[in-house]
Parts: sequence; structure tokens; C-alpha cells
Amino acid sequence: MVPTQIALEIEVGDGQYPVHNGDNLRSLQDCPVEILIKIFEYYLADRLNRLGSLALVCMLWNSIARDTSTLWTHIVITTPRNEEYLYHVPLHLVRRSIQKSGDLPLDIDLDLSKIRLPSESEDFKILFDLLCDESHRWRSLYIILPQTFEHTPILSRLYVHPPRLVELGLQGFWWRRNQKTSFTDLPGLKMLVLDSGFAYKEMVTSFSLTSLESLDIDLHGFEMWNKGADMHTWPSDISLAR
Amino acid sequence: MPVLLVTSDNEQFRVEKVVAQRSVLIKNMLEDVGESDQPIPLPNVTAPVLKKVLEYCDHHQTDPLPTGDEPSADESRKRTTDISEWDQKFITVDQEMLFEIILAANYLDIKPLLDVGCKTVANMIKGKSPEEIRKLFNIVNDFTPEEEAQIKKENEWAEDR
Repeated sequence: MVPTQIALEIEVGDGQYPVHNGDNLRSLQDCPVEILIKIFEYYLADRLNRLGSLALVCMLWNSIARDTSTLWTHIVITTPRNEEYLYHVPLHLVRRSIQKSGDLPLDIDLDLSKIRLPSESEDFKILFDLLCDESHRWRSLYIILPQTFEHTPILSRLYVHPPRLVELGLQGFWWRRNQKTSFTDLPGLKMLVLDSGFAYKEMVTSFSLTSLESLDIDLHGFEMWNKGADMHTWPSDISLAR
Repeated sequence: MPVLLVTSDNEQFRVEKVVAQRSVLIKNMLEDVGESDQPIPLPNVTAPVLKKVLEYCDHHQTDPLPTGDEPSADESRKRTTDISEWDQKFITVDQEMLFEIILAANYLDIKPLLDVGCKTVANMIKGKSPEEIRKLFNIVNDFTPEEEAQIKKENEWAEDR
């Protein structure tokens, strides 16, 4: 047996945890707030999960969800689970995330595949104005473009040079012959995902990627064409693919 | 040289230093006291929990220690909830033990173990409604109906997916 006073002589931790005698069962509510925040951050890492569900559990969780800026860095727009289509852009949530996340880096996931709005809609304009105003904070940006209308205007709204962008994913896009590519100066880009789309080879290779060494390209379902010859070319044909 | 750890219920564990030092708290204590055979008291950890924690430390004893030089939040999309196969099996325990492990990992400052615990809870919450989460973790709904309605309204559109 070890004398109890040894425990008292040696300072442990910061004293915020009571000595535990093992008599009471531990539960999630016993965890300090910083651990709950960590759990919530992992929960939100999955793009399908939302802060709203956590905020409705209890007052403690609601206050954590409301007041923790790191939980507001993930801007997600997707079709509600019970809806077939997305009929408007939840701009109030985008504004709230931008405001509550302070100066922290932003992860943005826009699934516009089922949106039912004209590309010139005011919702789109406001959305991209809001996001582009914060482009200096973008850490990752994934966009699934709509299949139902000409979306060139959407891509053209994203002519920004986010200096901190690490990941960029574009899905369901079709770059036309004379369309300029956005995102041509991305000094920190580590991952480029081009999925289920079409573009001319010259457009893909026009990405200015100074961080090429650590680039990871996923070209799944992606087609490229040689501009001059109008011939299909395979992703492995370009020097960027590894 | 082995280290002697003493739990809150006065059980003693003699473990290799390399295993014990997976805990930053213990590592710092050992550095502070120097070469000594003095037992190290762990008043916030019971024997069954420490046994489990040491199992983790033993398995991961050759892993590189977190250095603080990991990619910053700026450099990587922050988190994944993937858990390795061994860790998954290790953390498949009842809820009480899960939270004991999380609290012990936090107290002992074993970041990788804390991450495994937090990821596990996050995965348990995924896809569940607030009511299901309350039921799962025995959490009391302490909102008034008015407060609940107000929060639902604030999160309108966002919650239902």
C-alpha cells in the first residue's frame, strides 16, 4: 500500500478533476467542456452532420454549440434529407457561420447537384459574394455543381485566389473550350479532386500549383480532351497525375 | 528501468518506462523527480481503467510521440473519424469504461488515446436525432418547451438532414 500523503505531496494536473474513487459511473456529461468540444469537432468533420442536432440535446450542449467558434468553421449546403430538391440557399446559416467562426480557416462544402434555382438567382449571387469576401480564410472548398442548368456563371463567380486553400474539389463540372479556369494561383494547395467532369487538358494543366510535390489528384470519373485534336485523353496523360 | 504507478484504489502497476512515458503527465513527473524509485500516484485513475490505458500504451509504445509539429489547422482539413483496426477493437467497451478511458487519457495527457475516445463518441452520435442522442447517453432534456422551440427555429433548415 502507498501512503495517501504521497498523493497529496505530488502535484498532478491542474486540479480540476476530483479524485475518483470508482464508486460512481462515468457518463458523457462528466467530460469537461474541452472534451465535448473535441467530440463535436470530430462529429462535424463528417459533412453529413450538423451542429443543429447537437444544439437541441440539452442546454449545456446548446451553449457549447452556440459559443465555440471552432464549431462554426464548416459551411455546408446540401439538400435536406427529406427533400428531393434544394429550392433556396440557406443564406442565414452561411452568414452565421462566417460571423461566428471569427478569423478561423473555413471548410466549405457546396452540394448544388439538386438545386432548383436559376444560375442568375440572387441567392447564388449573395452566397458567392459572402464566400468570396472570406476567400482569405478558405481552407478547403468542395463543390458539386448542378446538372440541370448552365452553371458557367457559378464558376465565374469564383474568380478568387484563396491563399490558404489546401483542398479543392470540383464535381460534375464541364469546362468549355474558351472558359478560363478559376483558382489559377493556389500556393498552398495540397489536394485537387476533379470528379465526374469534363475539361480540356490545357485547362487542367493551367492550375498554377507551386506545391506540386505534395499534390494528390483524384481524377475519378473525370475526362479530358486535347484541345487541338479534339481527342479524348486519359488522366494519366498529364504530368500532374501521379 | 520500470516505473511504479499507484492507482486511486491503491493498486500498484510496475511498467516499463517507455510504456509509462506515453503519458505526458507521467513523463514530465519522471523528468521532474529524476532517477527515483518513488511510486507515482495517479489519484484520478482506478486500477481497471489504468490496466486498460496501459494496454493501449504498451501496444503503441513504439509510435512516434506527438511533437506539437503536426500539421496546423491551416494546413490540413481538420479531422477524420477513422480509427485503426486495433484501436477500434481496443475501444469496444461499455459506455462507462469508454468515458473512464477518455477522462484518464485527458488527465494523463495521452493525446492519441484521447483522440480515439473522442472519435468513438462522435461516431456514436452520427446520424442520430437529439432525442436519440439523449437516450443513448442518458442526458436530460433541460430545455423549456419555449427554449426548445426557439432553438429549433434558429437551426431551422440546418437540423433536418
